[in-house]
Amino acid sequence: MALMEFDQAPPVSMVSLALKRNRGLKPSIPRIEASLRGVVVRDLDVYQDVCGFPRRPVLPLPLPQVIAGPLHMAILGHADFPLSPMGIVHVSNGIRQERPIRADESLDMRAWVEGHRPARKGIEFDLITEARAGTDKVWSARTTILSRAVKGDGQKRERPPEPGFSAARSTAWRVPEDMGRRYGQVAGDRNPIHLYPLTAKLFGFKRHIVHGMWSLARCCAEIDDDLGEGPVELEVAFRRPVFLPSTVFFESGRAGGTLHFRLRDGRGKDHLVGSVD
Amino acid sequence: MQQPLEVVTIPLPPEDQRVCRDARFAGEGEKRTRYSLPTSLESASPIGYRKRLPMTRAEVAEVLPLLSMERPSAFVEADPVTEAELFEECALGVMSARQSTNYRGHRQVVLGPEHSAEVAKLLGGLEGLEAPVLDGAAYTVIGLSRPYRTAFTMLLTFVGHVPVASLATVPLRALRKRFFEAVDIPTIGYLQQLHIGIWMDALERAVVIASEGRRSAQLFSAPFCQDNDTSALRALAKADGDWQIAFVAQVGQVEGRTLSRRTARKLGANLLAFRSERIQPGVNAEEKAPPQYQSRQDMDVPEELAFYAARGAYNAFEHWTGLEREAVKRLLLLERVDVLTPGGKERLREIRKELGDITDRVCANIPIWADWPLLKALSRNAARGKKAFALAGQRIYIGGLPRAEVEAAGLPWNQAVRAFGAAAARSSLTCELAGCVELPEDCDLLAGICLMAGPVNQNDIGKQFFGYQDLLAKAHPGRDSTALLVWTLKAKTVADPIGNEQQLLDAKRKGALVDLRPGPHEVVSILREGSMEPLRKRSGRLNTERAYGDQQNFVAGASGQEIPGNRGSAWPRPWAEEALWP
Repeated sequence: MALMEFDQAPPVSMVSLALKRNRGLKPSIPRIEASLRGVVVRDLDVYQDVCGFPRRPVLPLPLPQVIAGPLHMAILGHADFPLSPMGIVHVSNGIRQERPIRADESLDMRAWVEGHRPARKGIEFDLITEARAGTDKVWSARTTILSRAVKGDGQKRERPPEPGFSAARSTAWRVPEDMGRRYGQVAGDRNPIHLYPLTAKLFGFKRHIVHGMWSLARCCAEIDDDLGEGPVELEVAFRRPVFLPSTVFFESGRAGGTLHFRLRDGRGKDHLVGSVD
Repeated sequence: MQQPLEVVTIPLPPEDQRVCRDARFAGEGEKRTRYSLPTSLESASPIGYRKRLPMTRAEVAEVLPLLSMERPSAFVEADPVTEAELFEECALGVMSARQSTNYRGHRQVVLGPEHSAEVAKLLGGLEGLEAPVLDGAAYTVIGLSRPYRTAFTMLLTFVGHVPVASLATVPLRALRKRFFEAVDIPTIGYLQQLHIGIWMDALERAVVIASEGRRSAQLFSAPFCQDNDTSALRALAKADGDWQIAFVAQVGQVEGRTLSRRTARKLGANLLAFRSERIQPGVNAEEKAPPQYQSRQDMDVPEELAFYAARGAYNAFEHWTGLEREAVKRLLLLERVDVLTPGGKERLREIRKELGDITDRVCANIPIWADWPLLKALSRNAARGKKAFALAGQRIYIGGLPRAEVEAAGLPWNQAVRAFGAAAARSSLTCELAGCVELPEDCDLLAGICLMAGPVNQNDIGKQFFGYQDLLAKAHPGRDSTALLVWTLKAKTVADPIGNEQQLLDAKRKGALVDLRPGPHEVVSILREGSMEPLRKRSGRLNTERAYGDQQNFVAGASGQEIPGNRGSAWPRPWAEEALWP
């Protein structure tokens, strides 16, 4: 087991991540853990502005994941992590928040990875993240990542059936061309696929794409009023990237006590689907 | 005194003739047409594709006093005004008051209580105030307007040229328009004033509806139709360029006016739905139009509806001019071209022929040197007018004013034109409300009205360039009449929620003669803490809320499937509930 402890956010080097070699699974991903103590959020208003949240002195639901971003990078860049971080795809997320987190609260963040499971086109692994205020766990998340660095088992897995809901919100957003750069600056994720058409083309994309976590945050901003003050559990699956610039369509509505939401393109294809309990 | 209005019920057609638009999405592999539901809506407008809601007789009776409201006499201490209330007021006012020629010629600035006190002082120094300036306004709306310019006015530059000398006359006219604000035909200049009148009347009502009866507006228009120094007000409103002050409305809290929340919200949702087009089945329908458009309906506009529509118009003209009722009736010129009475059809044919002849002369006279390089856009645009000017309705009224008599009555002409616009709008509202009374599920509406400027503009082209008489000259000989608008009343059950509306909401389907419906950030600015903020543009977000969306009057396909993006999404609660001037 590898353990990294930081008292300030570790620097992220895109170059060293890009140059990291793929060693393959022997036999799986070992436990690698990273922690960061005493984080107080700065530039909350910038994050809120970029993602469309009203400025309030509480952390938006997906924000702790952004705080944990450097820890995730440190784990993926660690010498014991056997796979190349290049080409990994963020496929889904689960977030649980026990209570609203005040902006002035000091958080202790901890993230780890361990093990993997086979997928059709590679393998999937989970990055687990926790945020504690004092001794209380206030927030936790599961970030599921697909790596194509290892051959998949080719088996198609059935998706759970799409929930039917009648939309209480249905709206179009125009995502501007510079959104990847703006969010990248706030989140500290300046992956070239999010920056410019040319830099994205170098990595096989026809144009640059917005961060999945921006799309999720923007969805959360839209349904922010529908979330209560109590514990919140969110699940989201990222289906297709949002190329920039784009017009996307957001819908949300309740079915059976669960709040469902989705982001689609103009032809009705899902970019992401999610639910909140 | 304005006269009270009464609820009019329209007799339902026989059950086998009851049809509604029943709009649907194009099927898989089916070619979309202008009659298919749009596949999506991306718009910051608070309107969206909406349908009318049935109202009970009691509900309509509750709202009818809004069509004969008197001015407030005093304001009481005001509760804080929330952002959401202002949004809904603007949705019913500047953002929806006008229909298809929704050009970006109007916007408003909203000032808080401190600046309102300053405005009150400035108003006190103006000549021609039509009512006392009140103390204690919660906020003040300054309406700004600028001359009307669209593709249609560009077309007019090329109309009536002198063929041989056209290389000189057309550019000369263009220069006069650009630098001296000259208008090609007078009624185009009057359109700006008509629209201000419609907006004033809508705003006065919107204030009451959005506040559920707690607030009222004291609106001043007359001083801005006369020579007054408005530079201090323009500076406060940061009005630059060709933006001029159209009116100032003091808004404050009042006592004694009531409007239930339930009725106010239903009325608000309906006012937005009244934007959609009324169809007269069996008249002027294309072959590819839905079957509901094809068969005539045995429905007649009741005489009572025409009576109250006229009373609504007289009320508004009286309200906005301050004239006595008898003077109002003398000055508001109307010609009834009524297909339900003898001789009406012949007169209608005569008018249609005259307008058609003018269009033909316009097309024949457009200079080739301008039309061909523009791929005949000018002549195609002129010819397209034939459909726009088609008069279809059962009771048609041509309305106008006698200029010499208006001025002899001591009324500034622009003020009278504004009052005329308000009169037309209010009579329309009388009919539209009647069309919702006890509306059955299988009908979109029972009656409605179309207000058209097109026929009078076309007649004006004929007057200015080809020697034709005014449309009202025959009915009112020797009165120096100027026709301003045409009303067409219909008792029908089909309303098209898409039609014109799609040209107003969808940039890709924008019509040649119209502009897109604006979002609040484009036409409303709020002066707060020393800076001018656009309404509903925050943190990179623009408005996506459809006003009165809680009333659920959104258009849907046959299976209940909605148009993606049409329903909108409520503005974040912390922003919507914020007191604008705590």
